[in-house]
Amino acid sequence: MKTLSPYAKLYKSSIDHSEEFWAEQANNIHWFKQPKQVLSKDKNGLYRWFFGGTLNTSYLALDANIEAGRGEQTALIYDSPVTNTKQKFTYNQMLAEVEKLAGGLLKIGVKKGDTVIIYLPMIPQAAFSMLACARIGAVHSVVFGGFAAHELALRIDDAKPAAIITANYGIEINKYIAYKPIVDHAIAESKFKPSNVIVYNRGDEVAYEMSDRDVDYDALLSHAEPASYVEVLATDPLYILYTSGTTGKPKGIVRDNGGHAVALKWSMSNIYNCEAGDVFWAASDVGWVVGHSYIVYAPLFQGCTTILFEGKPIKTPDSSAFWRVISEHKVKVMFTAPTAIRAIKKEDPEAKLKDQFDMSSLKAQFVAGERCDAATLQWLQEKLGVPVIDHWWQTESGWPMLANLLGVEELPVKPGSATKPVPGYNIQVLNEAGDPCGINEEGYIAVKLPLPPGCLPTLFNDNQRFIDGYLSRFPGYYFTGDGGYKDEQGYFFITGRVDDVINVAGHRLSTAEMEEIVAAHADIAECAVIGVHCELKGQKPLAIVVRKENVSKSDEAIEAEIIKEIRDQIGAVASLKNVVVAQRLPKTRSGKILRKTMRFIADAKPYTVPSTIDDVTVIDEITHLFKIKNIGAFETNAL
Amino acid sequence: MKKKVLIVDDEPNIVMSLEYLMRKNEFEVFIARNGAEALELLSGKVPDLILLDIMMPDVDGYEICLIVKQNPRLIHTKVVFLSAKSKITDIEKGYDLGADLYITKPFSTRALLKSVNELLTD
Repeated sequence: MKTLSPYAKLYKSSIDHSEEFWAEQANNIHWFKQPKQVLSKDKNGLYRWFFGGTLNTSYLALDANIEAGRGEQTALIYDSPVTNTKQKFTYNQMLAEVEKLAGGLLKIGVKKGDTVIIYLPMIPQAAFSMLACARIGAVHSVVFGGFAAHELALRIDDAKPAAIITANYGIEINKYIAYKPIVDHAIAESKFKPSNVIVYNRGDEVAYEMSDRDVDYDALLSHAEPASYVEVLATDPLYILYTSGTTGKPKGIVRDNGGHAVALKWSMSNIYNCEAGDVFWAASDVGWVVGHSYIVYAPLFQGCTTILFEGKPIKTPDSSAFWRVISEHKVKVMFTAPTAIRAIKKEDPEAKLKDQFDMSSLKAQFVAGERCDAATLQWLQEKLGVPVIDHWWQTESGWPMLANLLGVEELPVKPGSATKPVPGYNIQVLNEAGDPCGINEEGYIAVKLPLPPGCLPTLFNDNQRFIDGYLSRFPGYYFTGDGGYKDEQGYFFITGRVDDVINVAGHRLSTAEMEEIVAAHADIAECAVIGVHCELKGQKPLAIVVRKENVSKSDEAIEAEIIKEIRDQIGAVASLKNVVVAQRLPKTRSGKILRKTMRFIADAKPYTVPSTIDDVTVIDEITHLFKIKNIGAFETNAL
Repeated sequence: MKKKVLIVDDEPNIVMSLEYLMRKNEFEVFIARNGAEALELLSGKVPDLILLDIMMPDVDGYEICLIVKQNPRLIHTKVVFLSAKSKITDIEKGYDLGADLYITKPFSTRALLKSVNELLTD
């Protein structure tokens, strides 16, 4: 009989004996009361992990490390090129900050089970705030600092927070963004009026106004008694994180305490291969799920040192920022989005700025947030000389779903694939009817229930929306909303949201596949391929490309080369006839290219600009570009 | 010697914030959480400045201002109203009662400090 590889053995055991598997992993965290049941269903018929167990997430992140002798180890490094600040906090210091703030929250009347909105820039107080809420059993909801007042107001009305924690300003490269007026405007707009707004004063550079509901962060701490942790149930919510839905109302992804702690701790050892004392850096923002899981919670559960970076991959001050941080803080494992790497590649195609830094501490580079095209992956691999691991997960899951498990068995990397299912996730590719697809046959990516610990148990105050949106498309499965396929070796390839698949003359084509080819063109920094409505063929593909800096070739020459390359590699069936050169692409803050929005612009369909957009002015640029290039619905206008 | 400031307000968040702000800026701070407490404190202390809310459940800020301004012992005490009442008539009433300054909420902490310092160096 063939012996299973370490990964295959572990995966099989996680699926065949899921409760035993997770019961064993649960032994790696400290419980105040052991769970009564490993897996059960709640009164709504939804799966819950570790029912009856009690714990405290802040205790696991801080106190447990101190009890294990890591009190004087650095827990968090705040590295802020935008303010020229570097600050280190040991576990002891971080606990002192969190205990005080937790006491402050209690002082203003925040109770266990209350929600608290955190609207802060990338400063240590953001992490302290999350942990302070967790300490007293309050449910935090971090709202990304780039969201405008209206988006914040929607979240206030849904979460009904007992308090909001904010600062007087954030910094976008070299520009101050006044946060406090955004909060004031949001509260003026929202129906629900929070009683308390805690304001962290970063300095007098940006003045702000105080009213009776406002309290100064430091003033509150100076009046507060340090608060100890409370016991919460494993199934009690730790946080709500809002994500864009298909309707205007944002979806509140709920994360529980028990499953989250067990899964995240497991992921640090088994996926990221990081142990206590290692330095882990997720170059994300605490406003996103990556920031929640891998800037704050998971590295601290594991006793690592985490980095909170208030900067950008480029322009703070240049495209060497990432290399400088890795070298200076001796980062062992880094995590970022492919879009950040493409930005660096565009500025410094040969990564020459890297040469001045000793990067020997770096053992692996993880990327996620969007599909990593092969050209970017290979460039990064070549420049760093360490494994570059593309992995795939969602806000909903909270931790990786597909990955190469460096702590278990390093599998060969296949560019374009996020490798194989992470133990606990029974991932299947299903066709329209819900039957499994064949090898290399593209379909819908779904996860057979139950989802493993750490994944969303439901949506905040909306079980029905959870059931309708995720569990109804394929009964017995969680539907991810993504498409993809599995090859003969069990590697999964995510091809993008299912609405990114295009149908050209009856042939299902992956825009992702075309993007791979376009991105590999030597003069292209990044690109998107979308399906534009076509009277004759249903849809036809359109490539929108951004040139690398200092390319002397004409736009026309590049366009012709790309069209030829697609035809050569996929065949005439691909029908790529339109390539347009853009200055930049519309993206979300997390780096996802807004393909659907561009498709709707091209098709002249009504669309809503996603609230997560990074820079809304790109929409006008793209619309103008499509007009002058006679793309899609603008074609007839040119006549 | 540190200047003495009396904060009179029934909103706990703003009291905490003002106390912290004034202490950080080297003031000696006294707190009264309602009008009666303020009057009791004023019977023994002579602050250099009072930051005075108007809408309080017992004795309101206008009344306290009048008492202060009529008390010869407190002749050098400056009174600064800090209130959400922002109608012209409210503000005029404050000045008519002898207030040295009337600041409306929401207020800028930076501007408040500047005004207070200017008043105390007059």
